[in-house]
Amino acid sequence: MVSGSAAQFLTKTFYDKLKEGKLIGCRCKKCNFVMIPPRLLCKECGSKDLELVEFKGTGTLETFTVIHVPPMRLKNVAPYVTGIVKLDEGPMIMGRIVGVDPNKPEELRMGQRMQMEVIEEDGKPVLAFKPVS
Amino acid sequence: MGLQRGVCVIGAGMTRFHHKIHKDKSGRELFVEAALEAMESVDKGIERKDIQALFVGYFTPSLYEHQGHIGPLVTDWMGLTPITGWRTETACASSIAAFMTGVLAIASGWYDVVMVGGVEKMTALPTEGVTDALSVAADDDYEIPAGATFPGLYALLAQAYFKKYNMTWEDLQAIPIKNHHNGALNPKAQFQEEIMDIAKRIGQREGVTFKDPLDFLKSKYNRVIAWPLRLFDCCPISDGAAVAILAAEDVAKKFTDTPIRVAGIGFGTDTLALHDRISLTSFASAVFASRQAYKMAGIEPKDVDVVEVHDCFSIAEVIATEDLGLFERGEGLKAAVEGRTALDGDRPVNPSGGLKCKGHPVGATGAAMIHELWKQLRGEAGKRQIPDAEIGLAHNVGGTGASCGVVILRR
Ligand SMILES: [Zn+2]
Repeated sequence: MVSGSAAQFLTKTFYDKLKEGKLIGCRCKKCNFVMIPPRLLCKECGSKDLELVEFKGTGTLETFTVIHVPPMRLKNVAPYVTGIVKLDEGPMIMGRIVGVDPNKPEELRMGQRMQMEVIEEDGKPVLAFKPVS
Repeated sequence: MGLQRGVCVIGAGMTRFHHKIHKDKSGRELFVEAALEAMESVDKGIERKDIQALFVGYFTPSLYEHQGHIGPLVTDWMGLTPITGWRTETACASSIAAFMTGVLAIASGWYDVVMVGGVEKMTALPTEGVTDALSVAADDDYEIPAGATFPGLYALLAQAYFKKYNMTWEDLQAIPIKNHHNGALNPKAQFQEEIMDIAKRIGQREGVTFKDPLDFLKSKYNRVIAWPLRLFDCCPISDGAAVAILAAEDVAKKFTDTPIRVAGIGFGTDTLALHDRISLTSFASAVFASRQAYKMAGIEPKDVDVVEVHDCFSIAEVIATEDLGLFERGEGLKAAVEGRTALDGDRPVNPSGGLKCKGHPVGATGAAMIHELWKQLRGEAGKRQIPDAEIGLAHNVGGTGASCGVVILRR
């Protein structure tokens, strides 16, 4: 549990913490809804009474793709895998999928267990996940 | 719930959508071309002074043309200043939003005759630049860092759909095959060629033969863009504009004896980020927008004769037909495979060739759907005409469904 004031429920906080290897979101104290990334208002009930939470960073692969035609910024990285992971605490988040061969997408399967990892791109932390057996 | 004052479409026009032929034209010039065709289409004629307001959709003019302030730019280029005018932006649904703004301007009693439309001049940038421009419709803080692109986001949806309903990419190819067949019958379409004809052309050049469309679609000549989606699962990059002219029902007879009534409109929103959705096989915005439009029109999905849906990627057409209630959940792709959405099927979808073949200059797409429905409901759609079409529906999506507008028109 990370305690925080409203000023901390920001994208900046999410990336500052990600740089430290921590995956954060928030929980609504009123209705208990858990969100990632943090927001200023509860998505479910609209309450401002929130607390920051840290996720374990484990979950299952919900869906994935291999990007062969990338944005300009990632021209030299493609092909690469990206996907959506359902965290064990409930919410889903998108991340780069590492530790797999982008040319063998059939080796990755939906429902596979994943563990978060932080990679760096252009000096910025990027949320990634790798398969765990 | 309904419009306080009836609104009709009295004219529609569009440029051909294309990746080459408009190279030397700017966005404003494309808009004028479509607007003049729309004015010429008005049965009893219309003069510029009749037009009291102009609303235009254009998704990212600042990225393609380094040009903002599109509303007055097109009122000026149409010689219509100082009339009311502004640009609407809801990503790829920008011109359905312009259409609805026009409907509201008339229904509220503000104006009697309004021009609405959309434009996008995409070929001003190379492919990677277009990929980047389109990506501003996604969540820039949480999707883009992961490496998301639009084909990639739709590939995530396709994978989720295949798994949930036990369908395959091979099944999905029914969509582009059907849309190429329809596009070949549409003189305004960017691609007017059956997939088998393309396969023969490429085969001759490369010294290979393909036994059927799927044989070609599985070959290396249909390259992977975002696995499992390939080039023919994706709509092209296009330049173009489309325009419709709206009039209050009480003045429409002055312009035409066969006005097409706006029976219902609906617009819904959803999270920009796909990972924040409850479902990865449905767009809640489209369900919301279509139920709103059906209710206003007083009809049910089964009453619709002709449908234009937002098939920016092949999987999007499948999701659309289910969200609109044309088919049960999990039945949309099966229906396409069985030919039920073909021109001669019981639920024809995208007679224009859809975004895949008609082209997708994003800001013009919603207005181009209106143009197709207007043709269909007047019985002027030529070889792709749905016989006796009386009720038409347009479904225009922004991004991965964070915006969706639905319009129902009735003869
Ligand atoms: Zn709450």
